[in-house]
Amino acid sequence: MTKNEFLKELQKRLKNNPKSDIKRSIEFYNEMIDDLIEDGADEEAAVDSLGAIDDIVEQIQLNRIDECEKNPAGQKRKIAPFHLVIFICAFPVWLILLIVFIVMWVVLASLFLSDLAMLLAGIYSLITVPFILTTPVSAAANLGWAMVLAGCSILLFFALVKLMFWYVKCTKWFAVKIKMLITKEDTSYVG
Amino acid sequence: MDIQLKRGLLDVCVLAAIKYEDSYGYKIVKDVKPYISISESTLYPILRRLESVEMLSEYSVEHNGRLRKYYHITPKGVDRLKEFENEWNEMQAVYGFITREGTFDDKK
Repeated sequence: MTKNEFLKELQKRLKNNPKSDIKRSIEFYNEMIDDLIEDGADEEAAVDSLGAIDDIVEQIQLNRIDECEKNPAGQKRKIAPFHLVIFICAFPVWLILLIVFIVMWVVLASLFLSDLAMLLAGIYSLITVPFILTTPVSAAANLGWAMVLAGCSILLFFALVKLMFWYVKCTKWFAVKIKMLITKEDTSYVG
Repeated sequence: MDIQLKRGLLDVCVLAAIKYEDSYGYKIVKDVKPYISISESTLYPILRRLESVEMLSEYSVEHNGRLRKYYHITPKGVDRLKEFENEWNEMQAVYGFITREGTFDDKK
């Protein structure tokens, strides 16, 4: 088994563990194999000398059980004092970001409401066309107006849906960036 | 050797391996192996455990174009080694008691 095959297999077997846990295990065994190779072993012999992958996985899982017992879920994600200080000091920044975020969604919601109002106005104008008995010209104008309103509202609806997806995408991207900034967690381990 | 006893000894041996000089995984295994059987797969959980109880810390150093993790003993780790020395003295006293000379009494 080559180093890459071994690391991929290990990553696969640990897939249910937290990402940080998998990353550390992969880093450890990657380094160990590199050191063995540097010491004169060939790649396959280096991998073989680590022993059976089942035993390696078992050791990692046993240790994980130990750690989970020591740190019950409630205490697991303690906020480090450093992060707390950063959080408090960065108060003006994240407050502005929060306000921008709320305003973005409120504007989007109001645009959706305007679109709905436009559609309702169009439908209303369409329904009232037969009741306009003044002149055929005004009835035709009313019909045209109704069509314009309904058409615009449908087009606007699609544009707003696209905008909403873009908002969601931006929000997700931003959340991931913030998370990475705090945890400095890399999600790619094996090349 | 009893598993629990070996586990405790391995923790102390790993700490002893980095007592005077920071070291990396492969070297720790090589240094400890002549005294007590240890494998790479055994070392990994030990390092994780010792780090979780803050007896050692780790940092990465670039080596031949890759990163190598070095382990450094913390004051808590040094305390554990000192504590072990005291424990060992007690153990020796117990050992002396267990293996003391005498004849077996065959009373029934």
